Amino acid sequence: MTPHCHAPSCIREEIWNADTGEILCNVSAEYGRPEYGSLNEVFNEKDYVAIPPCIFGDQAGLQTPWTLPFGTNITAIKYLNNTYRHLGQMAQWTGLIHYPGDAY
Amino acid sequence: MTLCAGPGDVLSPSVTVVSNTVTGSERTVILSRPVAALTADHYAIPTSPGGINVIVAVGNTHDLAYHAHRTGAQLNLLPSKVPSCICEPQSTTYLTYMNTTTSKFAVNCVDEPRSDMLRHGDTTGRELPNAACHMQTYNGGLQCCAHKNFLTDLEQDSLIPNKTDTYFLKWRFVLATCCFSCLQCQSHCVCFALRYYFQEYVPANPANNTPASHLSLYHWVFLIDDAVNDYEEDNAHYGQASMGRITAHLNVDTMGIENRPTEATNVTFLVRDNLCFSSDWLCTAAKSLRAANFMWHARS
Repeated sequence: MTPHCHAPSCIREEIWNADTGEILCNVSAEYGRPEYGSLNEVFNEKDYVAIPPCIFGDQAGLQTPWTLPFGTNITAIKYLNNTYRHLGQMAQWTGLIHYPGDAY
Repeated sequence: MTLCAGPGDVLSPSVTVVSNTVTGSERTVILSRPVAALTADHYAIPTSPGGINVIVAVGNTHDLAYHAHRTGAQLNLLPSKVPSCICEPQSTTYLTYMNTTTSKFAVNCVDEPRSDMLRHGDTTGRELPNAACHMQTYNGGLQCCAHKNFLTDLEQDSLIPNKTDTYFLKWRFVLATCCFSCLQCQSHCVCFALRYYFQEYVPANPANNTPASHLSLYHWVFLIDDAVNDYEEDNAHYGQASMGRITAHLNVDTMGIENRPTEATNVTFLVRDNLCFSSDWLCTAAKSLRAANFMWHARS
């Protein structure tokens, strides 16, 4: 799963299982930085934002996918830099699911 | 006259015929009944001004049968001893671009607990709705973003140069070490969904030569508000460094889950792509999305 938000204000998005207090995914926005190269370089501009996903899977090194019952309460929080006003902002979450027992 | 037809229980009589007269080709029937419901199964007539939806029908046989004519109507209850408006005022708001195009502005932010938008929506924690919830406070966003629209003031139109913006899209592929059913390939392959990462949510089983499954994946998405996609981020003291927040509360059933099997009781969450925008200028974002969709179709 992954959040969706915009530069330059997006700082972090979190999604929680509100019933258990477990955090399901926590994503911090990554912006272009000098240590990655010139800030004039494509995709590393000062306010170019990259939003890493939370990757779940059964392979080694991946976090085991969450399986949640329907009805589980969810809380989604977006933290943002509101030093200045920003319009047209978004705070979405999106992803792919699988229903246990679904056929191949 | 039948007030309600169809299967059900016959109600005990609650209506009294006050008069039944015929003048020419018109019959006038005046009925009376108490305001309060006779039983829990009867309708209680509202005691405050408002509308009552009714259906009426008439038959043309002696036996109970499907009605010959029927229609729907609304009875409007008005105060009889104080002045009142006959028509409820309604307002509709529109956005006009360069005095040439007009689009309806229809936004209904959902109340808490679903979202902060309506009551604590300006991202500062103050008791204020988000400015995007009302046309009167809307400063800009998706509602303004349409083909050939520039986010400039009317008098700035002549200042817009006739140039074409160049923007870049960055795609990241994760190569899966398996063959998907949609492509016959020998080793690494990238399958149909350009925008998706893949992972083995059902591991391969060498014992019975079952491949890892990448099928039966369904998309979900939810917004900060139940219906409003974009919002505005405000501050209590403009220019003073601050971090705001905005929150949504929902449950797994209302997260935009698609194609839920009736027998399913839970769901497993996997992964999807992320989209990267080079600025928060909304039209740039929208162009990126349109281009992304185009590329997806072009390569699928």
